[in-house]
Amino acid sequence: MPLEERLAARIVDGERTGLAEDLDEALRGKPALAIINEDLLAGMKTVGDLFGAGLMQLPFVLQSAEVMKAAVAHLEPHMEKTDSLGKGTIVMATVKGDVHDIGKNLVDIILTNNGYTVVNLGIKQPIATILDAAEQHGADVIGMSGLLVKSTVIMRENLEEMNARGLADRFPVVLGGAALTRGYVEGDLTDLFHGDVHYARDAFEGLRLMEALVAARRGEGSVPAAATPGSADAERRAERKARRERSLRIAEQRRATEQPTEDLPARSATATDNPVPTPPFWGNRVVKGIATAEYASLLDERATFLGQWGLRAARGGEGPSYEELVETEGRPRLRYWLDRLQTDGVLEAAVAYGYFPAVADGDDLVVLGDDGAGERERFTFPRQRRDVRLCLADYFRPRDTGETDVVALMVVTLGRRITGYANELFAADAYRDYLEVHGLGVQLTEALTEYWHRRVRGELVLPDGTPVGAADGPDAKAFFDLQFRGCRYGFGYPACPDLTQQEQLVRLLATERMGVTLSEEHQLDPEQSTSALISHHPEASYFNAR
Amino acid sequence: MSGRDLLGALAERVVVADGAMGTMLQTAGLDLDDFAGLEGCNEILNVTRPDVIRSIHDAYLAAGADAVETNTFGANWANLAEYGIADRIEELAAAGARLARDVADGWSTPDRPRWVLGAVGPGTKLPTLGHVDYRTLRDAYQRQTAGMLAGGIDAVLVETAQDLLQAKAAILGARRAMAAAGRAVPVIAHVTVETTGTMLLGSEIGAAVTALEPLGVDLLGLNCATGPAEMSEHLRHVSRHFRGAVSVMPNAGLPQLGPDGAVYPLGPADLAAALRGFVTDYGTRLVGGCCGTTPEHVRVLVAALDGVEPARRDPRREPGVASLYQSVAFRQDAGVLMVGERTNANGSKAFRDALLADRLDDCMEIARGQIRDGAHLLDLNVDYVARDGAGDMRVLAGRLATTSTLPIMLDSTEPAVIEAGLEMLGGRCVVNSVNFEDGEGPTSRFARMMPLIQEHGAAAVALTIDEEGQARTEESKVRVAERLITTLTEGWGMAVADIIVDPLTFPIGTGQEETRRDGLETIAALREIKRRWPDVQTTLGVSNVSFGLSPAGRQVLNSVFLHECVEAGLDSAIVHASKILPSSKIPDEQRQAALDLVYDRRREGFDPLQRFLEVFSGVSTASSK
Repeated sequence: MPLEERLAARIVDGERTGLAEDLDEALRGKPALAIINEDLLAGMKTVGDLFGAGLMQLPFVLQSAEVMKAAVAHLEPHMEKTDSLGKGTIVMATVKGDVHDIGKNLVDIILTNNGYTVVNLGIKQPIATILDAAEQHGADVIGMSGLLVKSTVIMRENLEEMNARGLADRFPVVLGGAALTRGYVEGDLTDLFHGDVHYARDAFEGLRLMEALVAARRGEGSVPAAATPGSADAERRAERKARRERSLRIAEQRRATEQPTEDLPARSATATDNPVPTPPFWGNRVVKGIATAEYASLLDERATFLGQWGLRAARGGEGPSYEELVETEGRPRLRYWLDRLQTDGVLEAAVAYGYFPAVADGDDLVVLGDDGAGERERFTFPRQRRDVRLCLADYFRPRDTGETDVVALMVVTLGRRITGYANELFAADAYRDYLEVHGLGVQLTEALTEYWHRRVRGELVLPDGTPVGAADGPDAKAFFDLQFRGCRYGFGYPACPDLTQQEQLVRLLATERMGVTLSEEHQLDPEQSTSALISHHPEASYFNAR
Repeated sequence: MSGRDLLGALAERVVVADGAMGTMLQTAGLDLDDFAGLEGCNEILNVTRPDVIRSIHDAYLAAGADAVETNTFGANWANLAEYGIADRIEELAAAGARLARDVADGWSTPDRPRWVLGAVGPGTKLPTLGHVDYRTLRDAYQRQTAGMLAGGIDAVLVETAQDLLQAKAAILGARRAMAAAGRAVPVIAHVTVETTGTMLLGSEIGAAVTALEPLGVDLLGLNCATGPAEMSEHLRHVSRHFRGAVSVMPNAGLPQLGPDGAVYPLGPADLAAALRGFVTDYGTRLVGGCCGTTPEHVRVLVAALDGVEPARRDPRREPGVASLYQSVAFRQDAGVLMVGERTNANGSKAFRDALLADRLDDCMEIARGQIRDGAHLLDLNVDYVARDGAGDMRVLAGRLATTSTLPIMLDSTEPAVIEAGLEMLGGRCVVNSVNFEDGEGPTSRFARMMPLIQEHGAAAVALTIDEEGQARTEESKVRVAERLITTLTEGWGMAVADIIVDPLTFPIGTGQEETRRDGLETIAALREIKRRWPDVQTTLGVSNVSFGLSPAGRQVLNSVFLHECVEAGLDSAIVHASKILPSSKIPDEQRQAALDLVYDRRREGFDPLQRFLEVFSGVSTASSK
């Protein structure tokens, strides 16, 4: 293979061995900047095409980016100070109130290693800071990211602020994040924003948008409404808008014909004569030192490999199947990381949990004092406005029955080190490791949550002497299929969407004893933590309280 | 009173030990002269201010304690060497024991004996991190225990253990002292679990239980570092899995650092309530206090425990081994225990080359590769002609001790090499292997290997080899296995579940007549051994079965043979785990050829070996990687 092709192939294959020698050889033929632009970026383009076609998995894309980074670092001493790729600059951040940055950092990796200048401001950035940085760095584009539903609202406010400051024309905006939808950005936000706003589904759509936006600024082309092939034309956009308006109209009609609230029952028909179990203790406890192997055995491999690590089978039957990827990449890397995280002392699994006497009071769950009297805390939950009129409080004994129920609460954390460890990998340009450690951290936290919920089911003993956990399904798969008695509700999810209710939970469990606190935005800190309210009620399941 | 009575009493009721010694000394108004110029050396007070030590013992006994701890926590190598008086270990330990004995005897009545627990602290040097070598520590602990035995202790209390290798040095040092003195007393071991939830070096409580129980520990539990709240989960584990009695001595709560040093938040009533819970929830039999606890704590505790019935326990030991970090059970839920074979200087050229060139990082990378491949244990073999095997073992086992979460199978024919490994690893190892090749006479390898296995509480691979050689038939394999199991259990006190019988694998593809039946004889022997001793573990070096065949043929034959052996009851296999193919991935034709070869299905006009070679001629490795 000729040298130039070989360099591009090294990028595509993520092969670092012998890279330095090849680059040195190439330097004898042409300047460093030309090597980057002509050979290395050609490799990155192939990587993007393969990923877009579903023929390359995310971990390998990141491995390619690592090699790209190493190649550029090797060439840098040979470049003039004034040499700049000059491809364009983006200032980006995770928006105010949101700490999630994996998605934004992936965009950073892809853009940086495709020759763009990325000013990555980090997490929880207010719009003022973003705009100042954009001015200072002469940004061509602003990028905003966020995982929370709330962040979609912040993004809208940010765009309004840009309107108000008259900066909408100046900086085109690219938005991304788990809770965003294309319809919301290309419908609502496009209508509202006086400038140019786009939705990027993934890092490579971000790359295509960046290319188009910079080209447009330099008068070299126009920007399609969406950079995803097949959704680019105005016709589709109009169709999507029409569809959205139609569904809004239907919703409005339905609301108009709905029964008035007062005619509906005050409470769902959830049973109030289910047996109430006895807890092993009242009050809270902190537990640390949970054996990694124990909770890691409840790891949802599919969610880890597919969802977090991006190990998707190649489209069209070319290349390895998902099962093959699990065998060759997923499980070996998982075992490797579990070992490394343990020997490097990264995992600090801890749980604060407790059992509290409680009764339902309308839409509220009232936590009583340990003697079963008085009111210690009160949770307020939304009730469905139609359907069966469910409310989370219905899964507990109503106060007027004269009986007292038991609620289990828990907060689990993987500790602070895992986040720092992942960030160090990112800073060291170990992109694939970063993606894997971050994703594994998320799923290990989930596994720890499952593990402790199971423990709670084992500890709650029904009047007939059997634990609530006796109804558990036989294996880990059964857990993921929710085969057990009762239900675990996370705050911020549809049955109890209000994050501020975590205040009561954190107070009841005194979670600061294991280093978990609530941020101003009512997020659990450290990031790899979850909270839950557990009902033992046999009818309890997930529902949407809207 | 003798130690036997202490265990008898613990079987009947809860025994209350005293509280802190150091906390009391800090308030005793001692000056530098009292310490003979050795500021902070509490053990010197046993000879300079015996009155102060006596008064503290007296105060705890007056508060109702059944047992007091000797003032010998720092009478060890690391601590006394810092004061330049390492030569006084035995003397100061004896003096401390004598004081406690004397005061306790004064309080003892026929109905109410008072016991003396000989306190053994960790010192400040961690052998797993190479701060000090194992033998130096062990020998100093032996001198300390010898002194305490002479002074009249009823039990040895190895406490505040932060490093499993240090705990092993202390326990085995104590055992050696007892053997030399001809007087055995119970051994109590307390590990210290930090606020992180593990011991200082990352050991989970499960690793501590698996590593320490086989050392002959009578009571196991926790002390120091945290208060009772933080200890609960770990004590629960001990209660559920350790077969001896449970013991606990927490601090008076998690210490909070203030301007005047550590402040302990838990008052007597709160501490007593927590300890009472440990008795009723976990069946704890020996309770006491560590830092920050006072005679008042003990007085309230004694009252709180009056008439309390300890929970009944049904501890289930999970036979297995441990690394510094975690415990690994011999029986794996989802299949066979895989022993990685690449960290073997005889079996892996890459490993041997790295070892010969002193590229230790590469050796560790090979070990990590085994973890990625799904190994549960690492077979470590450094035997190579003209090398210092014990030296190589010390270096590699020392590195693996902290680098790997997987327990180690020490693999050598040389007792000195095995011993070097055992003295570097605080977890529980498997020794690979023992056999009756040169009998079991006093100079045999067997007789030289077994004392090491016994003292270190290791599990052992037992090969079916006797004076007549390697057992080739089902009958001879079972016969030698029986002799091995009988000798190891009755002669050396091992549990059947800690014996891993290897009924031997031989190459079956050489074409020699006498090797044709080797595969099926091994499988039949496995089945019979598991039938007769369901608790015994079994293992095989599976890859040997295909020696001499093509790489593709080897992979399929290894996989098929392993599958058949697992069906017959095989518990573990020494293999390159990632090279094993699941049955579903082997084409029917290849599997049939392999099965015919394994079961020697020769018949008129059909030679399974010939057939196997045909099927695999020109086939390249379908690596599962």
